[in-house]
Amino acid sequence: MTKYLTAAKNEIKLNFRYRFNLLAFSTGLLFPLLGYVFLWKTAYSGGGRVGEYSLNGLFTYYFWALFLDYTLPVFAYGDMAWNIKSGGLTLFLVRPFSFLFYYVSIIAGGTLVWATVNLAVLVPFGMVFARYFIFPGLTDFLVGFLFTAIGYFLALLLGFVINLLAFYLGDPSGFRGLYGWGMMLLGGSIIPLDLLGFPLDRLPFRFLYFIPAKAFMGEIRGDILGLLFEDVLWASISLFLVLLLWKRGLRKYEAYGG
Amino acid sequence: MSLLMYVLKAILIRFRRESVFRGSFLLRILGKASYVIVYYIFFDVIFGSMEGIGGWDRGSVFMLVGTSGLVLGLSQSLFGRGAVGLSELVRRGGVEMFLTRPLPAGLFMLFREPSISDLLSLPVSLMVLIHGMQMTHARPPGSCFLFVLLILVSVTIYSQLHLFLGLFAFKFVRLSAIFWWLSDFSDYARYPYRIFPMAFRIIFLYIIPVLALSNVPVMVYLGDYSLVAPFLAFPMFFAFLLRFLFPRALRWYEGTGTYELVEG
Amino acid sequence: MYSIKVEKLCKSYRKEEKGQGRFGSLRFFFRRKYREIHALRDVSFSIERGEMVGIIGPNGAGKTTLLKILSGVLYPDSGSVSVLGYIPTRREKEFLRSITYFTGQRGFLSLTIWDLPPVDGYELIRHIYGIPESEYRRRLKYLVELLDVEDLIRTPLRKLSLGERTKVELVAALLHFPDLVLLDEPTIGLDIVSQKRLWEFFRLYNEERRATLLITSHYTRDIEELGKRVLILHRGRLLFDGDKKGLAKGLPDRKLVKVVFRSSPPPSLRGWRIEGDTALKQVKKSRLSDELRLISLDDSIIDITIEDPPFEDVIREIFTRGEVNDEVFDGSEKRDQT
Repeated sequence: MTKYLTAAKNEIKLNFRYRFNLLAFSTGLLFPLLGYVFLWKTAYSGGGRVGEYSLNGLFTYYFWALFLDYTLPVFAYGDMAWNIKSGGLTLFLVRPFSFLFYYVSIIAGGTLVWATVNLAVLVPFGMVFARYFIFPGLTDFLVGFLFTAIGYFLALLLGFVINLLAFYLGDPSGFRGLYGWGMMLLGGSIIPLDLLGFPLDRLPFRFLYFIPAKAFMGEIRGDILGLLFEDVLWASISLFLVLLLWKRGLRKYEAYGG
Repeated sequence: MSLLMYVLKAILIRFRRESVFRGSFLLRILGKASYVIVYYIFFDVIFGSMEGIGGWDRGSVFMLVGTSGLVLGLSQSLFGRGAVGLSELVRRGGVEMFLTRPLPAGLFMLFREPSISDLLSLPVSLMVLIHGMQMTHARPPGSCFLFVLLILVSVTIYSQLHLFLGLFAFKFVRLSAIFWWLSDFSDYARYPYRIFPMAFRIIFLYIIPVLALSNVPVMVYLGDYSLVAPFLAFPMFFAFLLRFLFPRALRWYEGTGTYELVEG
Repeated sequence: MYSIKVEKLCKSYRKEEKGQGRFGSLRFFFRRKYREIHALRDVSFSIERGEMVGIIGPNGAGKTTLLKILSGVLYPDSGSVSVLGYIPTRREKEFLRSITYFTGQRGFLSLTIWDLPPVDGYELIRHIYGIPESEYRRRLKYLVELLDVEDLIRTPLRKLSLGERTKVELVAALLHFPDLVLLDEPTIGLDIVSQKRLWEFFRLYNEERRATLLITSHYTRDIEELGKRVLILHRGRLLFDGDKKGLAKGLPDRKLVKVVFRSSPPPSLRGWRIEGDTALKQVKKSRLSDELRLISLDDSIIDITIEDPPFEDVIREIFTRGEVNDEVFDGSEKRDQT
């Protein structure tokens, strides 16, 4: 276990190595957030209303959705696929060290850093604009936190699935772009899903942005257990897929390069 | 001329590289086109409940989405990968390979990896743009020619912005986040500039002119020429600035032991 | 006791072939042609514990594929492989703890801690192999001193030169003191001094730790530096397995004649290769006496020596012919191939 903790620790060190990059990254999510704030403020100033959302409701939704957007391990690091494609995986296979757990550790390390720095920027921002923000109660916060934690795990596994396709497709990066935009639209990062006007209840993506954001807003009180069950079920299916792709993929691995 | 030939050759080579994995190549084109489709849906939802945003109606906002898609897509096609990879090139010590060739090193590095999938996804942006144009019913004389010209100016400004930021990679080495910044700013290009408060307008129209990239061509097409003059001054100003700064930035470069190819 | 036993090992790949001409790329996009590449064909050999064996062959001979099969990375198509008593593809923990695979082209540290100093990577390696703290310190000191990298291990990896990086990567590859060391072109891109130092290090490691070393290279000079035994691979086939001295018999009908002359080469040495005050020529045995008679008449000649052709020439000839003369496999030179 300590080997994976060391890998996570190294990833944290790596992220702190280039301080300017970290600073730039941490403030990065303010720009799209401000874009949404100005856009919706202008749109609502004309007197209209979108769905059931108040202006404050929309601000709060985008606050959470963008925080998730900037911290979810969506692609589980593209270099995982690159290592499979270019032969770097070889250097992991010859050690008693799991390639998959290595990525879990470094993503955990990276996510910890990103989530912390993003929160460090978002919290003061939220306090300045407190009058537009709907604060969660303790229960809502805990439920939101739980859905976020499972959502991170689900995003990680879905990212692994995409990267492991490198065993079969050679280069899954094309699939990543489509998946990324599709997931943002179908997950509710671009626009709340209840505004889209078509049902997306049968897909796992809503557990990445929409459900956690709504949970923080205290708007999913009715069927929390049912949703949790569905969330865990999707994570389990993804885990099964990851293990299957890994086991079968290794037999197809061609170990290019030195 | 040699730079043009270099870009054309780079496009050809890139086509060969990208199309090695056919399925991935086709999916990548779809993925790139998704950007425009997603924001088309986004504004369609808003206009389902609203008449206009800051005085811009549905047609002109769709024109903005299409235009920003064209400018950003074309930029991405020509130098997107090269620009984002600049800091990685510095980090991995690959700048020498470009400094030692008889071409302008900055542009050489910028245009080294064109993206064919971005190029082939442009028709979707064009369709959204045409759809928006049809909705506005505006047909000012000569505006189409001017529109195309301004799009090319937008692409030039955008490439200069990337190169300008790229210079800081020589000092700060791992600078990919600053390009994410620029990418986040660029997303403002699909919004009407009037939604922003005055301070933002000044910054993003006149200092980092990402708002102007799409707003100015659309405004000109709709008959509003108020922002054209400062817009045209940008490429000249940046050309001068880059010429001055590039040799100075090179003095910061430390290099690494040997160049190791890592895909960005 | 065998460290490695390989029997009738075969491995092939499918390779795409791009079309030629102006529209080749377009044709390649729509219709693909594939070619079967036989990376290894019926390869059999065995290596005993503590041996240091060189594998040579030109590019594409199958050297790297062989090493990757031995390390459990690639699955063979057919044949059997046993390494340290394990089946490599099962990748059991104890097996992985006993081996190392090192390539000069890329290293584990480059993949994991590129912007950090090597010590951070070593700490990771320590935990991967569960090396106790005090033992880790001792081993690190031993390897760092042996490879003379004390000043480098606290500098970010990206700031090191290729040679320096190879050495710190090598420390990472050997920190767990493996019983079997698989080295794939370990000296690639290094200068002569660094290469020599690495070979000395490998020899020392082999002697002190009684470890089995298997080293691939396409530099024949590297193999001369190694232990006695050499495997020669060519287009997936094992052409030779035995003492490298035996290879010289691969060119039994030739000798290398070296002639030292006084000031300038006399006319009788026209057509010979001149190196300083020495002329060299490979001469067929049957023509040796005629050739010697011709030059011995010349006053300006100081000395004449007759030797077996250099190792590098023998290898070049073998690769050109794609086979080894039967004489090579005579008597003690021929090893157990079953």
